[in-house]
Amino acid sequence: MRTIAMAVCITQVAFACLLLVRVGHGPTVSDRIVAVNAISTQIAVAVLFYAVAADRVAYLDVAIWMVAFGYLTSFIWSRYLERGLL
Amino acid sequence: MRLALIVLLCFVGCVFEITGVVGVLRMPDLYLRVQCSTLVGTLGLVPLLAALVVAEGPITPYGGRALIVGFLALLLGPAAGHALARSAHRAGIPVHPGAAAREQLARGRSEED
Repeated sequence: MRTIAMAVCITQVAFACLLLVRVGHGPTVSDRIVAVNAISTQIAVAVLFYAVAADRVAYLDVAIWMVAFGYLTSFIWSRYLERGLL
Repeated sequence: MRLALIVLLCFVGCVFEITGVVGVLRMPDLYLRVQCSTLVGTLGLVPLLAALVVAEGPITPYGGRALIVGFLALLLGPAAGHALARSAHRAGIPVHPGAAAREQLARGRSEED
């Protein structure tokens, strides 16, 4: 199980690195926010699987906070965009 | 048997995630990219968390936290995608010329103004 968890963790980080292309290249701010939203989800899953691979329960709460704050930031960015403040 | 199920769930999740990532990179339009990003957050996330729950059991710390993360992601992910697409539409980001709903979106924008 530990090997599978580490493999999934590394795959998630690789996908997040692929999404960084869109963060750097995206023509508008909304494109960058979309990519960052997907990256935050993937990093939360990576932390969750790394906790299994490293057998540390303390890392699990990091994943919960990360997924909650990732969606919260995308909500706040979209509110800013909607009012035309960005 | 259980290990085969775990590997299968991880594989399905990773296939959906690579689909969403390639979509975010290659789609021609912001609204299509939002759709692919939401695909990563829901359909790619759920099989991976299900694999974790199958491996560790639902009451253990790992499985319980995986269930909490899945609940939060399924609750907030589509709402965040909708908020992003709505704000982009309000901010006037153009729609791809080949999109089927282009005229409807333009009409809605002119009615709002």
